[in-house]
Amino acid sequence: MNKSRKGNENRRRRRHHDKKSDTVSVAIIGNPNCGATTLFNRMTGGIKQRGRFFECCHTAKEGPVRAHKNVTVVELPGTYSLSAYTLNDITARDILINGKPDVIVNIVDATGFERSLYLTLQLMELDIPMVVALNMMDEVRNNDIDFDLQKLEKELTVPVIPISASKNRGIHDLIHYAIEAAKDKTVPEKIDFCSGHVHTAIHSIAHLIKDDAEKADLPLRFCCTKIVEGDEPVLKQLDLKDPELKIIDDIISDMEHHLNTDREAAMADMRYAFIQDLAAKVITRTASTTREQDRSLIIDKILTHRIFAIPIFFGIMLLIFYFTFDSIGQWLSDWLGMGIDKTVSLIDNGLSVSGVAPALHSLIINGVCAGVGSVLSFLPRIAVLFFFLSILEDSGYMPRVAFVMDKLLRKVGLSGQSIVPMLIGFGCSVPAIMATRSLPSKRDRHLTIALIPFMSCSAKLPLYAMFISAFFEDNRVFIMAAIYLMGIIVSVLCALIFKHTIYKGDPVPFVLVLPPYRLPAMKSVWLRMWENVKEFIKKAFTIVFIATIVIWFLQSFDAGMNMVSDPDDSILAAIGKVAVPLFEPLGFADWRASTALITGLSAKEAVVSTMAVLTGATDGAALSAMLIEIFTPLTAFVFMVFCLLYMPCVATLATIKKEMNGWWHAILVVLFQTTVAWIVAFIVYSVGGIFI
Amino acid sequence: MTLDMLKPGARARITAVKGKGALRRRLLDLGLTPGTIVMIRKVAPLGDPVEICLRGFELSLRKAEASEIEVAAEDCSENTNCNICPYSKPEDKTSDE
Repeated sequence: MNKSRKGNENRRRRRHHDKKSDTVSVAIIGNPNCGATTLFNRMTGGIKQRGRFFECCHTAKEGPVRAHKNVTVVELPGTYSLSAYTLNDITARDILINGKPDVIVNIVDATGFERSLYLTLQLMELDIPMVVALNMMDEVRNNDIDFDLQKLEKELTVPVIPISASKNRGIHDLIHYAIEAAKDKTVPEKIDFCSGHVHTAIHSIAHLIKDDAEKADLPLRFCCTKIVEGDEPVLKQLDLKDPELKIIDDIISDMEHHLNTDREAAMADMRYAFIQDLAAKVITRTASTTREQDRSLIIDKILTHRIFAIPIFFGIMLLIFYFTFDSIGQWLSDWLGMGIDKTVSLIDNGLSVSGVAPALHSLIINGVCAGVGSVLSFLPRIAVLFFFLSILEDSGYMPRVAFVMDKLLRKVGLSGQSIVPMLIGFGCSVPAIMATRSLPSKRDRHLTIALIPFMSCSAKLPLYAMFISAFFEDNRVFIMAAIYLMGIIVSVLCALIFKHTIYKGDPVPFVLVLPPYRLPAMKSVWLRMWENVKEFIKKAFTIVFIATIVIWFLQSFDAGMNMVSDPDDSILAAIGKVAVPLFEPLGFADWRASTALITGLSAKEAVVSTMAVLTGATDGAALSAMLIEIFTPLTAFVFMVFCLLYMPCVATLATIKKEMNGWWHAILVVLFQTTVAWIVAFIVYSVGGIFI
Repeated sequence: MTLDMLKPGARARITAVKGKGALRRRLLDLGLTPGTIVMIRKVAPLGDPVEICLRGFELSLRKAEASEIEVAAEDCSENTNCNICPYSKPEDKTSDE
């Protein structure tokens, strides 16, 4: 790239900007599915940390830029416009306006140029230095589409860097120019995309609110166009008084009268007219579609086919679960299990030889090793599940699922868009609940959040696997499918009940962009899988580790702090026995079962580790033998059903509290789910009792 | 005529976007402005929503939303440089039934 950067002189210098000048914060923003996450991973190497935007927004990812000291980058949620439609849009807007990053990297999908530029034009009004990263340039070149970058740069008055995030091209240049722009403090010029009456209206309003905008510390031009659009939040932030509001109303109605259209349409129309004009100037293409778009159409003919679409969707989900539970996941789990058993017996021998105190020996082997080891051996299954879920998310198939399933989901009061978070819920409820931020209506969000925990998360896998290997080895697949289906059926029933009671209301709009199918960048898939695996390992060595030590301690001593020979006399037994009457009608009156359910609240994996510690089993076979003594096949199944449905773990609860604004909702979710779990488990036990 | 009345494969020019509030904003933000040419790509397996194509990308919306968009029939077959919707090649007869 040998483009001249001398256009800087005629860019207006930014007036107020005097934060600590040695650090640079870069904000990546673009449309959803335009490659922002891939770019973020390229810039940071996938490392995330809490940064200056953490306080205001927990969903924005932030990390240090590789090989550049004091430069951090934050990835804002994907958005199409700075008007507030979904929570994601609001977050992005908040961070840009109130967080004031030093430079915006606006990532533009070169194959969806017009729609992407709509956001660009709004970002340019924010008085923040900016660089445009023109992404997907590999596709553009493959298809003989020619971008006149110099002309584009000149028209937009910001540097335009061609990149390909997935192929790792142009990232160095991008970082370089972004930092330079931040240090230069040059902001984009105000380009006049408006003409005639809209232009007049913007200028009149600018004169009127100049002081107010300065007082509210908002970019003037942004305020003007947003006022013309009729954007409520800006009006509120500016805190305009009556004479001004009246004059603005007059200006707008005058404009509407002359244009014979309304304010919202007028602005959108102006922007798109400018973009169309610009696109005609800078893009020359030989074919009207790209190969990727053609390919996408062909894939869509199959995946959204009139008859096959729904069977294919269920087929894909079944295949993923097959890989997780049976073939790949099973082999890997077996190997790891063997490795863990070997390690434990090595430690056991070592401790015997060195002659440590029996209590310590018991703590290490029967407590920590049994508990943490039994949980860790499920790591491969979780990795496999997240690997496939990440591929689904990155390939562009998820929006198609929403498209295909929308009508079905609407029957139970949800929208097609709810299915994406629900599917992620099979991995972990926490990211699933975060993913509801892309839903446009509050009602849909709350309903989806309330149902997500019924999608059996991966942390419950060890538990099912433990019971299946003890009781249902011959019907492994059937029992597993029954459990997952049970979760889905219960959530559908609950959704129906909600729809006719607390979450009544109108059907919400469904407007969803279907991006072209793309081969997922393996690096992103890998990183996302690794993040979740890391989280799991961290949990195993923190929450589960501590839980096992506490459980071991409570079950080894009695109230007088004497070591007990029979766990039945321990402190833990005393506590567990209090909860026993609650579970008596469900068939598992054993205090060890009720204790495991209680520790499961910290993390669902802890149910397994607790059972392992309480039964004193050091390996899988011993645990199976002990479980057969405590449960019958029927009560084992009832126990699994109860675990599937009862209140979510603390991490999920904290997320629900955050996303639904308050403990009140979280407490309701706890009560609701535990009640549902008890009722369903009771029904299963009663009905099962008739047949067995 | 409104957008939901069109059959798959049909093209039309938007004349007005009715409705109000956030939904209308969203539709305008996504480029469904008056004068834009759209094409109905397909209808979802269960009969709703529909997939439309405009400005070179695919958008899905429900028939209820589509009925807020007024359109006038557009014949693109004569217009060889109809670049507004790159997918709507005049010779493209492969669209789903």
